[in-house]
Amino acid sequence: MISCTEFIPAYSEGFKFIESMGGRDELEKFWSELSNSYLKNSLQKLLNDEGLAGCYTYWSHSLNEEAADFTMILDEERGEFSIEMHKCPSKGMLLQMKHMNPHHAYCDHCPALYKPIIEKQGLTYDHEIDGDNASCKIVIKKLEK
Amino acid sequence: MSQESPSRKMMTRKASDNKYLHKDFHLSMNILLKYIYENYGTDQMIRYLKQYTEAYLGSLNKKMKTGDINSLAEYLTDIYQKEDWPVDIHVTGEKIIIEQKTCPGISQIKAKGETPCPHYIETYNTVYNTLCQNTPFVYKIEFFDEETGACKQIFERK
Repeated sequence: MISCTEFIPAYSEGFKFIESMGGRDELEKFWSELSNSYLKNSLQKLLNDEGLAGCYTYWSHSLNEEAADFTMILDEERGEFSIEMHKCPSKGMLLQMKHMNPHHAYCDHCPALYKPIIEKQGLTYDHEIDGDNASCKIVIKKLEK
Repeated sequence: MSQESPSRKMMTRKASDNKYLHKDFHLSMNILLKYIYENYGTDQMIRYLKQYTEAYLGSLNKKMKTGDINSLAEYLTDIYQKEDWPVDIHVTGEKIIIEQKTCPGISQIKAKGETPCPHYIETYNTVYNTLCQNTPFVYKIEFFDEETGACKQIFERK
């Protein structure tokens, strides 16, 4: 059994495996398929139903279940949603595991998954990642008219 | 000054505020397995599961090489506890018997309306056979219900 609590190392090794089969292009193809299939009934549906507020609903659920260390702000008046990830539980777990090396571009899967879904809704997605410290910042905004 | 208003919401959490249990990771895992299976076939899916086990469970495999059955029992008990999943794990000096009525992965995948990857059983069979490689232990599945993941698994000394 691969427990859901062991998913992160399984995914990191999965990225290595897929990249070994077809390089970065193949890995990005997988991320794209994952984005379409995994997020269609969750983030994409919430964005359709709630607009920008769907981001708050989606990440409230997933970041709490993932026991992340974060600050999340939804500012409807400014048309902005942001996540300050102080300590990413996934990258943090991989950095703690001294017996295995994380995939060299593990953090790249987040923008690869979320950005296309967000932009499809007419929103912008900007991010800054500090993978060595398991931290990042995401800002999602309504397009200025 | 309050940072909340009708149009502004904020949430701050520490890692210690929540239990780490995101069951939808089973769905993501299933998508990964399906991707490898559909693009490269069963043999490559098995090769991936071996690679994962050797990397992630290499340190447990080392302990098992010394004949240490307790580390294996602790590991198995721990992952089911973290999943909050009912299981019967019976440990003797020579054998560990694991009986479950359903698999947490298959249950979550089906609850979300998805289908488990063909050969999902390999997440047990390949992972635990790889874990036993070059150790005094062997792994066998006495039965496995593909629909629910109900199964009886046995680790025993050779």
